[in-house]
Amino acid sequence: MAFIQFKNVHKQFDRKVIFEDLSFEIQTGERVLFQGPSGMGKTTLFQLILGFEKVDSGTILIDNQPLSPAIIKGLRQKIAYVPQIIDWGQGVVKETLEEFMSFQSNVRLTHWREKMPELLVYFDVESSLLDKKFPMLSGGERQRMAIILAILLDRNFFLLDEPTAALDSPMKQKVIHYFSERKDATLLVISHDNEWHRLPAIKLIPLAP
Amino acid sequence: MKTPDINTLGLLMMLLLLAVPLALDFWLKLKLAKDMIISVARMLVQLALMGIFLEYLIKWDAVWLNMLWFLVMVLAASHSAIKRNKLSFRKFWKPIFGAMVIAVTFAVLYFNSFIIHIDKLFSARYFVIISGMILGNSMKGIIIVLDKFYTNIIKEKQQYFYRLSLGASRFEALRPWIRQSIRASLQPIIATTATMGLVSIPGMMTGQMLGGSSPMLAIKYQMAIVIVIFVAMMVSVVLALFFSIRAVVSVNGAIRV
Ligand SMILES: Nc1ncnc2c1ncn2[C@@H]1O[C@H](COP(=O)(O)OP(=O)(O)OP(=O)(O)O)[C@@H](O)[C@H]1O
Ligand SMILES: [Mg+2]
Repeated sequence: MAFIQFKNVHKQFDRKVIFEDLSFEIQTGERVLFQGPSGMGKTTLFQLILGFEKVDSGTILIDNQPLSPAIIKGLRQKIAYVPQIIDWGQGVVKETLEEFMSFQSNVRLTHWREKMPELLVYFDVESSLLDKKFPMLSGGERQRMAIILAILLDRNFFLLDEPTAALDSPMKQKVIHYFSERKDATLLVISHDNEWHRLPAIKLIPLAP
Repeated sequence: MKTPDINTLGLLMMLLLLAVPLALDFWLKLKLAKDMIISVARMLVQLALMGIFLEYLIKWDAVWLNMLWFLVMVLAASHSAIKRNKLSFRKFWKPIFGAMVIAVTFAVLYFNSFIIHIDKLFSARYFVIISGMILGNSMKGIIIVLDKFYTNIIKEKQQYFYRLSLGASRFEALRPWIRQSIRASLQPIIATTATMGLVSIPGMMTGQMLGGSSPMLAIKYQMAIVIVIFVAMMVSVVLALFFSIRAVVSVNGAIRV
């Protein structure tokens, strides 16, 4: 079944046209890699899907239904999103995680505390990092925490915007390996890293001028 | 004891006193003279008009007129709060006007009926004057809360979107900015409340004592007023923020200020 469909989507900011007539389709269970030069509108594409930006014309369908407030709400509870710019605010990492997990739509996640230690080890994050204030974290640490959070949300659809850009090569491999083992998941990845090509069955959607 | 009148000579002497700042301005080349004269002139005209209005309001003492005057003052305060923040009057006037009407009416009526126990709750001498005093402070609070809230959330849009993407409801996602902005708007009044009576004699007390009240009575009034002002300010800040969020933030979290 089609998870996401773009039909003749047009989007522009002021006079700069980002998408002129964009159409594509992603099936549930597929793994998709979006590639294209900087400034082509990859991040904007995710923002359109998540309802943070609006199309100027054309339609976006999620499970064959056009984006509406109710569909957007459902989608945000079903998708795990790792944004390109990761900002958790000013607070201590652990407390911020607690707060995210206390949102009404996440309270059903009762086992995240037990699952976390294993993920911290896998992604090579020292547990002392949880007691730091988020703004103190390095770029790579933020990226790994965002990936860990996305996994803890226990959702089957991932929207990853440059999830490995700030990581060293062995860590990139580990992230890609983790997602290649997630056979249950639908993956939408934006990345300049060619390592993602090695993910089995990945489908490329180029965004080119 | 009766308050001594200020006669024409007294008023002239009052204006003559301005020669001191003007001389200093000239001597130090501060170039403040124009601004100073304009603001003093505005003050004189505004207070004179207010004096005339209040004379009549108190003389006629008609409930409907007092209420109308009150609503006009709230509308003016809302306008001023919105313009200060360069927000859209069309979108923001209802939330802010509503918030101030509710908070200030509640505070004044509480003061009139439970603290000073007067029978005519809407009499000009108390309703109009006390609400005017409360209103100014509520307006200051609303200016700060709206400024902090809408400036910061737009600046920190990435963080806000991230929270929404985690499945947060509109109010869950907005929580950090709601907290920050309300705190910022109330901190000044909390700070001044703590030093009251240490460094200065508050304006209302001065007026009352010059008018012949005993210091103890003036102080009791002052205490009550400080508390009433604080309560009205907090309630109007919270209501104005929440009403404005309902008006400009869509259920999906899109902000259209
Ligand atoms: N809210 C906005 N207002 C105006 N212009 C915007 C806005 N968001 C994005 N743009 C512009 O749209 C274009 C596409 O931005 P986008 O972030 O989608 O690019 P990208 O493909 O993700 O780039 P990168 O690979 O560098 O992350 C850029 O030129 C950007 O300046
Ligand atoms: Mg991008």
